[in-house]
Amino acid sequence: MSNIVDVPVGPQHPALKEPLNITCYVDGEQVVGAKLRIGYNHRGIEKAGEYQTFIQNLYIAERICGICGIVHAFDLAQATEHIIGKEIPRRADYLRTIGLELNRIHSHLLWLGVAAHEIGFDTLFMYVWRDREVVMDVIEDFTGNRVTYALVTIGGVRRDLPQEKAEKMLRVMDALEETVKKYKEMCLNEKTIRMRCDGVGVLRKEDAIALCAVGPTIRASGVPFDIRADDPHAAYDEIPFKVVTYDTCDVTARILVRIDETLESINIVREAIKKMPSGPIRARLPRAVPVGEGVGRTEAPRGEVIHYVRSNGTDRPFRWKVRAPTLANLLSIPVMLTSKGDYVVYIADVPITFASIDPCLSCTDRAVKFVDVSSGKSWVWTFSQIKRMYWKDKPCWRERP
Amino acid sequence: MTLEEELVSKLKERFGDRILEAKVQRARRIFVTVDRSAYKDVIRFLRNDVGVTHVSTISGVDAIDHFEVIPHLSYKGIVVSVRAIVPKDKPEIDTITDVIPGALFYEKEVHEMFGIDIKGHPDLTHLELPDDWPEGLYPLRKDVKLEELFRRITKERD
Repeated sequence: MSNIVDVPVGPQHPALKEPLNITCYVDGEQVVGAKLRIGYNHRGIEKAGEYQTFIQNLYIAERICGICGIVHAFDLAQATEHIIGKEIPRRADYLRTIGLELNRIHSHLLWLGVAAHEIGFDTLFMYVWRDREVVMDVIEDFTGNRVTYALVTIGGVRRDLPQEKAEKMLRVMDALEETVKKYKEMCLNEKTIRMRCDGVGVLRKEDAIALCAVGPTIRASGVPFDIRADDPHAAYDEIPFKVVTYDTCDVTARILVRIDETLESINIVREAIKKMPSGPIRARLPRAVPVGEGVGRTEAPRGEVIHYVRSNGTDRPFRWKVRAPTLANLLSIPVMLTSKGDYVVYIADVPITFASIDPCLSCTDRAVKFVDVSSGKSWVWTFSQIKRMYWKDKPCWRERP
Repeated sequence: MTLEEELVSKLKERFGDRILEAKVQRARRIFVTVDRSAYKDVIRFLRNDVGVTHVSTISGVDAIDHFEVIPHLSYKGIVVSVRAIVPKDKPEIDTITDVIPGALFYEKEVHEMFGIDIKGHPDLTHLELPDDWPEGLYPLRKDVKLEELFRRITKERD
């Protein structure tokens, strides 16, 4: 097998959270294997957390992920509340639910834009990001910030949702539903999308289960694994919603899962506003947390997030462990990027396959180093160069099964 | 009997004294403490006989007088946290990657953060720390202070 070439993809992209290096083993045009290396942006937050109080940690937790900030703060607060053993006001649960779902809507739309960009469909990217801006405005209206919301606190939330803001939110949700339905129509019927995504990045159901994939990645492989339904937290026990699954296991399925989930999220926000009881939004809980341990989990836009917190009776955690969903989904990438039998992976499919798990990083202009093993010669290409090289002249260069 | 209680009694019935403690903390949260020698058997029992397929993560804890390795397994919405006690003078534990392949990265993380040897793990290279990280410096151990971490990382880089 002397003609196998190593193609290291990544790692540097300073703008995003988790730079990642994938070494693709390439035989001609086909990717025959892949290996991962992460950790280029390890920040030591778990260690830092042991030196800060629980309240301070909430704000560090929000900065774990700039896109789904509410999720991490919520999880830490949930685990801490489990240790304290007090229930929080019901209205706070509903407000948290609204926050989590708005997070999901804007994250899924952001991803849809990125995915469109990765397959070279920049018009869709522009449209989707324009409409995402509306959601960002609603979030700002509700929490005071576009990102790092500082909404959740231990014992409840910090901001209420007055009637007039709720009504405005409902109006935006109505308009957004129409747009998202249009996008779904577009993704189902647009030939460009279908040709680039059907049968690409396949993760079979049994692989997804064995590798413990989470979120839209496992749901697009036909497994109804959703923490909101399985382990109802916040107000999800009182709000009916559908767990979206598709069973084609490819990138198209992941696109459709996310679009359908956006529609479900819009309904959850509506339902939450309708059912929200009046009352206090925060319970005063002690700053020093009693001895004990707690596990908080929730369904982030990318999948299950789990926080494990141990307290030794002080106001600082003894141990705080965080697992973000991208780490759980990374193991699936080498499987998606390995040609096997009838399933063939091409170099041009690497960006969208990688982007399809919605990693907390982008492929745009990621440097790619090509090494020709036989001559020892190596050169660097950016993803945009690959796109030009492989897509421009041959829009339909590959036969689809 | 709730699903949580049923699971705890199943474990107690099967493993008896090898389960040191098993309690239902609240709805959908179970904490089980096991002897290190029973750790892998418990995971294998949960995988093969109960039908747990998902490991959410593995938490390592430096509890001052011993280490703890805690895989958080997910079963029908219940988080089953299986705590294995690992003595400090012999920090090693069996791998569970052959039972649940999805645990691969989490075990690597426990290894590099706490210096616990995962016996039988296929690839114990660094996951999050850089390749030139100082040998034998395990950042999440309680005796490693922030000042020491900073000093050793900057010194060895210069």
